[in-house]
Amino acid sequence: MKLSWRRYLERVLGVLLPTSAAGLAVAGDAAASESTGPQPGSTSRLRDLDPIPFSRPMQLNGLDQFAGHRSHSSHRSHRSHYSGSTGTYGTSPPATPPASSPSAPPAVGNSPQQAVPLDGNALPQKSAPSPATAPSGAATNQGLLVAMRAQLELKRLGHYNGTIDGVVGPETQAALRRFQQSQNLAQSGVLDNATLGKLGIQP
Amino acid sequence: MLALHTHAKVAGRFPAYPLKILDLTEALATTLARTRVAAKLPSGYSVDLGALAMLGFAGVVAETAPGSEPPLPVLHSAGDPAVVDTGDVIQIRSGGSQVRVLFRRRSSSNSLFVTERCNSLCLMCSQPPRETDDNWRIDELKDIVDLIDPTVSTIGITGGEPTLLGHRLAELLSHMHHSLPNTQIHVLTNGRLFADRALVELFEGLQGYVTWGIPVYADVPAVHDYVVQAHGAFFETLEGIYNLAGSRHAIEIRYVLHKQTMARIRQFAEFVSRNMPFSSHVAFMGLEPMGFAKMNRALLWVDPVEYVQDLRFAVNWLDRAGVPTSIFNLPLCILQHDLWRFARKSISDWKRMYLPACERCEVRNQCGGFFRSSGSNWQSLAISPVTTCDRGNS
Repeated sequence: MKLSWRRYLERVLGVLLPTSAAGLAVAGDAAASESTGPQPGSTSRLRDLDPIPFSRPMQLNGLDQFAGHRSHSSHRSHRSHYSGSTGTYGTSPPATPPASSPSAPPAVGNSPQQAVPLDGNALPQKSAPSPATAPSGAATNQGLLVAMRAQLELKRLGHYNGTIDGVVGPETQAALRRFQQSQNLAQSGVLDNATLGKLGIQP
Repeated sequence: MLALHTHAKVAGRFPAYPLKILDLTEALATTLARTRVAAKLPSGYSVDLGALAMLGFAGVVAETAPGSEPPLPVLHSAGDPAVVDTGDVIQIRSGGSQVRVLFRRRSSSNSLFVTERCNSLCLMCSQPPRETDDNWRIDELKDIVDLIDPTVSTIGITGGEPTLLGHRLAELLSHMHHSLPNTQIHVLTNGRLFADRALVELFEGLQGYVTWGIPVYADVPAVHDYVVQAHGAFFETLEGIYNLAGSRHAIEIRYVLHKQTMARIRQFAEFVSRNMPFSSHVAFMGLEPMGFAKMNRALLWVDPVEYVQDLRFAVNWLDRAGVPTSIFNLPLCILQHDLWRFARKSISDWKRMYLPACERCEVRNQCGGFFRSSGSNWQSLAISPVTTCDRGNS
């Protein structure tokens, strides 16, 4: 390939100053992008220059997916939980069971959108006769999952003492604020990406 | 030493297929299908089971009974809680309370049992064969393989005679190759069916992934055929070994030490070094007092001190010939010090024990110990704790 000075400059600047070079890449000649071009969808050829292609930490690529997660009405009523200290369930009478009743064996997707697994949790082996098709993976469950993981981590760190239920209620929010304070983050009490990153949770 | 079974109480109905036990933290982060995962609740934590049911977990493992009817199956009050550990793969007998451990994360000796059938009937067989149609095992084992940690370094395949499964064995091994690419597979086989080249071809592509552990009990057919109780077995096995080696498969030769084989240990070593120099490993193995071996004690038992000089010759011979050699299942105290570097801690952790005499022994931690199944009539009179002054003498 013919060496173009612009390409050379891009490489040098790309390594030294990734951010400022990004602007330069936009002005770059179109001809250079044909062979070494990255996958469609990525914006700059400078991505090629990353020494090791780490998947980017989620807190860098925007969209606070879980910041708004509070609870799921569908499981809110099921407060049958283990309380390890006493060895019993704290039970409050379940209200009308939701459509996706957890007491039923997890069957195939309850609702159309649940049938589409968004994460890698679909059963790897379609031919396996016995294990039922995974109902997991719907976006709503992903929020529940992340909230539970956050609660577990907050509890491990001593910030949270409530039930691991995936409900971001007042107690969890308070725990989040305590954690955020300890990490010099804005005390939002919300599961934003920065907080998840600090908790070591990558969904 | 942990048992591979325990009893536990069950609330609700667990699926009949194998399940992966994971700590709640790991369970929530796993990429496995959650229908195949039972989350183990951390003690002292209060956890909403409804949320876990929502997420589709197969069930929950807890220390104590749930207070009311749980929204997903709960396994609790295990007879021995250590038996059901995080990372393990278990199966809960449908309707029953028995928990079978199929894979143990913390063990270095996991193996998959593929068939009860066998075409030999070895005098010292620790797993006496049974004529039964157990083709179903392969499907179940594939389910188990999916749940085994990809980081596990080695897994054994055992039976019965695995090659009797033919293409179904190849199917299982290919499945493992795909799902556990970084694991080393060791298949224990008598190799007789590999005398047919067509069988070898079924395992094309698995070279380097699978090691075939094949017992050869002598340098002459009379002894070998008698030990395995099958006429013509010796030549079939040799043919099989050459067919496998010709296709560049890795081969381990196994030699079990007992009264019937001890007379020809030296000749055996010479035979292997000259005729099978391609062997990736030769293992001399102490007898496991299990199954037929127990019944045939009179035919088999000999105090290892009686053959240890011959063993020393054989091991040194093979070592000088450049064949990697090991001694399995024999305690260090009955081996000369120059053999210690060949001795392996080969007895599976759940079968291993130490004797009262081992309390004072200084090399206990390096020693493989004894089979739990060996009573006092299976123990060498030469067993004695190794101390510093002993070592000074040699």
